[in-house]
Amino acid sequence: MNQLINAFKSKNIACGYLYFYVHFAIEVACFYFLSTVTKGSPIIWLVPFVYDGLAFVPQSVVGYFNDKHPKINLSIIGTILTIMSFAIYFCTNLNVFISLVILCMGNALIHVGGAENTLKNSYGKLSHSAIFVAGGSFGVITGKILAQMAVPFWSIMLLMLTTIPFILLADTYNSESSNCKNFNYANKKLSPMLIVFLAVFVVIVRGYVGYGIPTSWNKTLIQHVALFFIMGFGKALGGILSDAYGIRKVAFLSTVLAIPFLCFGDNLMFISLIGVMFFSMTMSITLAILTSVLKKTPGLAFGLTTIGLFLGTAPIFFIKISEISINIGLIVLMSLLCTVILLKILDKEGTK
Amino acid sequence: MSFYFENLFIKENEPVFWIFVAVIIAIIGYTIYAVRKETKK
Repeated sequence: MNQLINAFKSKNIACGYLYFYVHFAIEVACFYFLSTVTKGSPIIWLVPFVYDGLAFVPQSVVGYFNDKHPKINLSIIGTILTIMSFAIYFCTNLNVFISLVILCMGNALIHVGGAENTLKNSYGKLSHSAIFVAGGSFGVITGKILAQMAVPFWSIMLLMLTTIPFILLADTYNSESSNCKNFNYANKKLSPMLIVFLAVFVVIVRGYVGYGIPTSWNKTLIQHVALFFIMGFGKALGGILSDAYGIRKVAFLSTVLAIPFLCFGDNLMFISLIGVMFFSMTMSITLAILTSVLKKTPGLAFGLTTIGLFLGTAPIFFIKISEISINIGLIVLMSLLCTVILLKILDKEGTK
Repeated sequence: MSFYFENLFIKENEPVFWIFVAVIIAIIGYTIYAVRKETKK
């Protein structure tokens, strides 16, 4: 219990909490925008696909740039770009793709800013970045709801402005000694390129499988909210529990325990939510592994996870498997495969 | 299994789609180059 409490009070954990809010806000803005543009249509449009690609994939290049130029505050620039994109879409008649591209750039910059800040100031702990990442899930569902409620677009622009003091405060934690040298979670006996490939593979697989989780119980708005909240909670918990009890234990237990809950939770909300919570825990673990290999370029490491997420979810836009038995089979098979891979690429020594 | 390709309205926006694909491939290619460079150090 003490280990768990200490994980919540890690040095510089404030960075995680500050960027939780910033991440929440940018996802509110993005999903308010996407929901408004597609007007909640069940038909998949080109816009969300382009959004996924341009918001996720460039984060590797943006991250690498920020690694080389750490003094530039990308989050502030990202906030300004997000507000600009709203002004262009809602106040002008320019093509929607112009505002979409600017929004994606803003999103990418803020994500990278948050990742760099939380990874470099965490002294090798996962909690900070896990809490930062968790904010996104809460923001996604909130953005969708606000769009459905048709709140005025300028209120979202105001929301983005409120992130500025949070960003500036988080920035005060940065110093000459901020680095990722305490990230030592990767198996040193394996080639770094192999570890990178396998870790990104895990992210891709989890990204794809995530869309196939059977959730027939998910019918009402409150159930939808519960699902996203649990996803966010699981992401944060993965980092916190890893710091408290050891990354290998959490990696193994979360991937294996998720299987029965996800498979049998199709019509059982609470069972399914437990599975989703376990399933979400690996997000911070793969980031920690990649940062361990790319200690001097944590922005690049973070960008690899977002590329993995895009590659995992891209097929969903073209092909959707609706047979539950096939999806359950994929969940079992892919989860076991990911468990084996994670245990192989995680270091046995130097971790609890 | 269902196939959503037509619903993406790609035919109507074909130039946008292929420019987008080219940009994504270029970024992923550069990322691989950056990772190789950083892991060799």
